[in-house]
Amino acid sequence: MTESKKKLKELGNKIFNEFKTGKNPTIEIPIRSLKNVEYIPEKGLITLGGETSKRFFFNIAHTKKFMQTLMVAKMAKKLVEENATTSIRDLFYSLKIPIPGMKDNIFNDQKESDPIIEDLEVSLDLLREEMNLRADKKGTMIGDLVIEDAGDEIDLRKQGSGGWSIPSKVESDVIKFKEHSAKFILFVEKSAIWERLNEDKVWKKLNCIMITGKGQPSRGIRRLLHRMRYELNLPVIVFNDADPWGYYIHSVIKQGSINLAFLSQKVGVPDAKYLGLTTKDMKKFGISRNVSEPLSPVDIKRAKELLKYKWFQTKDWQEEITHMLKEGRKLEMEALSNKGISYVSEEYLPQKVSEKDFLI
Amino acid sequence: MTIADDLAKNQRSISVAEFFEKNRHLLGFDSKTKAVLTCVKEAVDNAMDACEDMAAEIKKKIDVAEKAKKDTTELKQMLKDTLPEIKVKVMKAADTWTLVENPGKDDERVVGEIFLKDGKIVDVVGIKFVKKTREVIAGTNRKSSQYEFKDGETSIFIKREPWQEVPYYTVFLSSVKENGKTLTRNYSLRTNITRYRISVEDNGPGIVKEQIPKIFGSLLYGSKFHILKQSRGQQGIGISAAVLYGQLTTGKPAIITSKISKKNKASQLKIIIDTLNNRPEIVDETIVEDDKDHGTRIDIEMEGIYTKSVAIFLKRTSIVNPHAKIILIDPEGKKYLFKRTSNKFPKDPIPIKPHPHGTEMGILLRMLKTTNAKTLLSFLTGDFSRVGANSGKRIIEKAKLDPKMKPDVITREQASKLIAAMHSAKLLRPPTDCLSPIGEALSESLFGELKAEYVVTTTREPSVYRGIPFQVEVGLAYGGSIGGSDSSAKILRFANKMPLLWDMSACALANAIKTMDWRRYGLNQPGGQGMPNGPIAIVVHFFSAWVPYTSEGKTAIANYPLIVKEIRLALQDASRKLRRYITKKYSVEKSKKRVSLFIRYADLISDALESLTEKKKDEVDKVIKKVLKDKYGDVYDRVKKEA
Repeated sequence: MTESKKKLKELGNKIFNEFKTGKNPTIEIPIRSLKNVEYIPEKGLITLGGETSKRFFFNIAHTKKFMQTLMVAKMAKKLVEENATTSIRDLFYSLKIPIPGMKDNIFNDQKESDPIIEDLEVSLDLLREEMNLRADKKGTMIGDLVIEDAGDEIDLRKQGSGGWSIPSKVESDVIKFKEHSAKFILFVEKSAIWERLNEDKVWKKLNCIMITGKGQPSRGIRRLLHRMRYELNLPVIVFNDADPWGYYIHSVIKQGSINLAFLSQKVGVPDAKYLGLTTKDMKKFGISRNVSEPLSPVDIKRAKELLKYKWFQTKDWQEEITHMLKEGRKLEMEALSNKGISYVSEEYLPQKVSEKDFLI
Repeated sequence: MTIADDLAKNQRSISVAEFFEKNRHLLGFDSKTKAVLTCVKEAVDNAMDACEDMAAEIKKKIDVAEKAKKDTTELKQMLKDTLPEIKVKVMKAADTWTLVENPGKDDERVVGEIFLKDGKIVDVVGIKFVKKTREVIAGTNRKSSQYEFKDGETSIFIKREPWQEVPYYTVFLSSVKENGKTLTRNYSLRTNITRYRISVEDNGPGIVKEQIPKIFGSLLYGSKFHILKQSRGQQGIGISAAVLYGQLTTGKPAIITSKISKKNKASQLKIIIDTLNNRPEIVDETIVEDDKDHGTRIDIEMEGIYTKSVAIFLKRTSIVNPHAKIILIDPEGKKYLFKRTSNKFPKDPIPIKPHPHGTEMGILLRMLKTTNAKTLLSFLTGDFSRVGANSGKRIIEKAKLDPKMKPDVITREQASKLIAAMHSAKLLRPPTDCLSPIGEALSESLFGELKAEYVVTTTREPSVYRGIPFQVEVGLAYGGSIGGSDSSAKILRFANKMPLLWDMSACALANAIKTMDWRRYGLNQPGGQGMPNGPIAIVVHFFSAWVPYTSEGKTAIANYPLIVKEIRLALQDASRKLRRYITKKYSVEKSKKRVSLFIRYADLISDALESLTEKKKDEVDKVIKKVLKDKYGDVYDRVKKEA
């Protein structure tokens, strides 16, 4: 019996026994919010604290989620037993069915089912991948690296203009690293910029591997970054927008996220470095103020929150965020095109890399 | 004859009709819609009063018989037979059929018009009448008529089919043909009723033949004008105004049929009002067969417009007169039955003398002129309530008058001093047994008529405004077939057991409802003022020896603060009980809903556990079912049954 199946069965037995002995059946779930995450400076990672919440069946406020959790567990057990995988979206659709005798569905929206899957992960200490659930793939990679993907050898130097599409499961049983001569890994927030850089073959010039997550990177991408950092011993450098959201994406890659703090050990890259954009780049590279944008009230609120996070308490970051707030401006990666279409690949990136002008 | 004589004749000959014309709004005949309703209202008023008067007489006889220890079975049966049963019919008396080509289009054309009276064609315009054929409707003994008309070469066939109850019928265009071929051209038939015959019949005592013309044929004849007593009508103008209106608009007399006992035959009188002299005139007088024991029926033909307000009015009348059975047959032959929900007559209101605090100058002057009292003091003590010798003397002293003076020599100035003294005198409140609440029967009536799921009623103790006794009762009917939670509350206003249908915004009864904070009582009220929302009907009945209407049209009650206050107190009392009901209802519903959630989810959980634990379905089901049954026995069974 696999570890996953065993844990799912244990959950079932526990609930059944509680029913049998007349107790209020309950599922204990570690709390996944800011108040229950801890930043461990020595490790440079966000980890989950010890606080848990209990989800009771005989409690009108909990009962639906209790039922939903068990329904997801049931589906997961079935997948593990049949050795099949399915996407979290498929899982949602297979449970978007009416509750017998009611108009309501088990799940009405994927926004309901995704957190329940995460609840089950933290509760059973199982990754969703271990329950044969996968997310939609949305990342691409290219660069000086050869890998094996589900038995096929893939040369990432020969992936044309689109790059290699990162699968949702990147564990070593699926993805194996063969050979490389890259010096670092460049994470690019936006796929449009990634495409621009690929067109200019920047990864060849700078001798790196280029990866994009199209916004907030999925955990597959983060897991892949983590593996490459430690298995290939390559530094990770992050290239995002100069705004609170770009900064937060960087921190998620580096220290982990609040929501998925339980994963930090497996996906975090505590020594990832931030290349840019920064608001200070505006002056340094003579970027016109016209292409920057004013901070919105939400940006300001978010920036002030970041200032308080323990993992943003470095000199570099405090200075950058304070500077941003003082200037009241933010900058998108596309703004660099204002200085010429290939300015980013020919001037900005090479200069930043060679000067090692990073935020730490 | 002089010109002045001629003029005088003209002036007199138009006087009553002119008075009527100028005062239509006062009498309720200011629009064609109102005219039909007012006629029904006045006739129903009379019918109801007649039955109650008869009941009062029978009750007296019962009392006498009981004192003499005689058998009262027969009298009691008589009393029961007198419970009002009122039949109202509104029939088409004249209608117009208009044949239209291309209706509603730019080239719409009126092809012809056919005028009918009492179901017979009296005139045809634009087309030619050819012939009428009759045939028996299959399966019935009724005959339908087919009328053939010609418009040049085109033949038009119109069919009329009677309903079960003649004279109700439906009319429709059966076909249009040219040289025997059916035309596809677009014709349509419009029917328009212009004149109605209204017939109201009761099972009251009947009216002796000699009295009939006076009651129905002279304006301002009545017995209620000088007495302070809770009664429906209060000006004695109603029914004769309807007779006059019918006469003015159709030229036809009103027909009154009345039977006073089993032994007597019914007499039928056709009367018109001699507008020259304001005097009834009998046009025709016959004896007719009538199989009922006693009762009166009036038939009035008039121009007007029939609307649903007649049915609404009768329904509401039935709510506040639970002892009455009312039947309405509308011009389309549709029958409405407003059932009797109580077999008891309401308490008889006892007439009282006016109270000095409520007496106004005009009334005082008239009383001074018509009294039989010889001195001012005996006038005060004899013609007013709650005035004894001592208080009478004090009033006269204060007015600086002579107790021995004759009432009819008192001047206007003296009278005004007298009235000031009367108003400020310390006196007992007037007796309140002149009032007759609906009481307990209102609750049954609301259940019956509104099909509510919960009803609460409150009757306040009698109170007095300006020397006139009045009382308030309210009813709240909640849920059942009454509206939705988003719709505005239904407001039903009544004064002296008759519904008020118009001028809600000016009315003290509505004002009291609007100024309550209904949110405190579990109802939705946007902004905390105005009409509340919810599945509720709010009934307010104001009754008094003299109802302070805002106008002679008798559509709204004047806003006396004391009246508004009494209504609000009554509403608050009833609302507290309603709130208790609503709260309980929702807490029961809520807990049922909660428990049913657990039960529904348990099925899924049982399913999930079966797969997670790899145990047998029966074993898991048994355990979960036991837990649920132990916890929520009866609800569990109910939810399972529903599923």
